[in-house]
Amino acid sequence: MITIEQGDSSPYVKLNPDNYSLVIRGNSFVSNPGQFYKEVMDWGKSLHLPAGAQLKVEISMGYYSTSNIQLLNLLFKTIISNNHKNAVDVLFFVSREDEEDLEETMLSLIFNTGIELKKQLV
Amino acid sequence: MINFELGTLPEIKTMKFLAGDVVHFEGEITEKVIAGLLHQLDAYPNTSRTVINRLKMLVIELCTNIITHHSGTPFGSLDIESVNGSYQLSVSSFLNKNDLDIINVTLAGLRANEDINRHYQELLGNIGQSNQSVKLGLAKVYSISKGQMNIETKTIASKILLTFKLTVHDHH
Repeated sequence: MITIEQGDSSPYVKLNPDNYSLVIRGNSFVSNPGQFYKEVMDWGKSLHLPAGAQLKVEISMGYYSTSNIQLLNLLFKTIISNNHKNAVDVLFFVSREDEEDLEETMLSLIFNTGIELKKQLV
Repeated sequence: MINFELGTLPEIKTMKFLAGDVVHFEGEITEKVIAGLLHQLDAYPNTSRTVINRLKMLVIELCTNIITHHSGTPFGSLDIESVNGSYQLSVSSFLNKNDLDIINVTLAGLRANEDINRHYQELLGNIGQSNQSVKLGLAKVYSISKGQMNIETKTIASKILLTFKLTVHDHH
């Protein structure tokens, strides 16, 4: 289990390798996202899912810098590339008042991955 | 007047002018400072949620850029001012000539591009490594400000001071 508590510029992150779940909650604009997400990235690069399994990702939306978007987008692409086209499922939680403004960020996070945009308004 | 005297770390200030409310900061740009500025923007009066969100995204992008590309302490200054229904954001920092040249070239490319959203997506699609730099941040800043973005430079004590000046309007 990898758990990272929320910081000024970093989200709460909880990765459970046993049930293939990843939760990201809050803003993500750390100046060195490679360092912040290293454990998660390293795990993702070596992930080989059992047949039919998916990594279930829940992202409670905050504000993301492009460098952080870039890194998480690459994580999803890597997992899909190493497993199968439906290897990652993402559910975004976003407030109604921010839904439109943060839509581009959500789309950027899953850009070119084939992941369907699924949102739950809160 | 920008004061980059080493050792001075002024707190984030909000001042009321006749023309509207002003958010002003100068000092070392850190992630904590950015978080404080976002918090400050939540309290920005008489401003739509959309404008606040756009300003937040611009602050994040421009300030993290200062942290990432500084040499020495990442000093910078930031001003946000409401003027006649629009919002003017200025962000200044020191940079080297090489980085300035890259910004000028990138900006020229963005201005020549008719579909900036598509260009942004192409840049995102071209990323193959986590630390690969494709100037996605500058494209995003340009996109959020809908091209209403200029840069000014001046030389101070043989250092180059770059100021991004952007305008955000309260409409979609």
